[in-house]
Amino acid sequence: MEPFEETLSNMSLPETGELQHRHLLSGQIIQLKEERNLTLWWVTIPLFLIAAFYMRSCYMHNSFTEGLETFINDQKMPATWLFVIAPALLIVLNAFRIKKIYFLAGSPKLINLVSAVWMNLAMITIAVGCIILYFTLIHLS
Amino acid sequence: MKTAWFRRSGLFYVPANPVGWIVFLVALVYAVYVFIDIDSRSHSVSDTLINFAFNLLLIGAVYTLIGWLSAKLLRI
Repeated sequence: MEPFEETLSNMSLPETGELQHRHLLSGQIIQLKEERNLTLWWVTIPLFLIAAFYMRSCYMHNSFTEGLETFINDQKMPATWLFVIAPALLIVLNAFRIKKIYFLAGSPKLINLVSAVWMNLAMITIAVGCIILYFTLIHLS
Repeated sequence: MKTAWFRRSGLFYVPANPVGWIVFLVALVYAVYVFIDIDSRSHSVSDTLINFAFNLLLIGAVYTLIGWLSAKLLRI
């Protein structure tokens, strides 16, 4: 007859592991959604500024880059926060969360991972775009 | 027992606790104050709305940051 303790350990370990794994994964997915919201709010501000300067360039007949360049040079501190520091922090935050989900989901196929985190990847891309735009305008001025 | 200040509903954090309501009301009062201040100095309706929208986004972003941090601290 097989020892009782051995049978019990064989039965319970995989079940416990699976439950813990599911609990951890669901927690990470909730945090992923929260970080997506946070990124969206903070990325909207530079996007609003870009849209405002673009619209002004249409009506005032001056260049779009000229308006944004003036804002970046006149308002150095807020511009650095909105176009560099906040996007950089949010990129790191989202990237770490995606990495955690990738490992907890058991290294899924790229297509499955992308379908789960595409919104976060889009946010990261927009944030990278803001940083590139800022440094391009700094370089031009 | 720790209770959450906010409950996330889609893009927004809805107050779920007296502390959350205080944070929400402070943000609301500040938004009204900013609107009145901008309106007193602006030259047209579009001038008021463009500047107010920027400030409203900033207030919303800070409010979301508070909601996110409170949820994160609750988990610790």
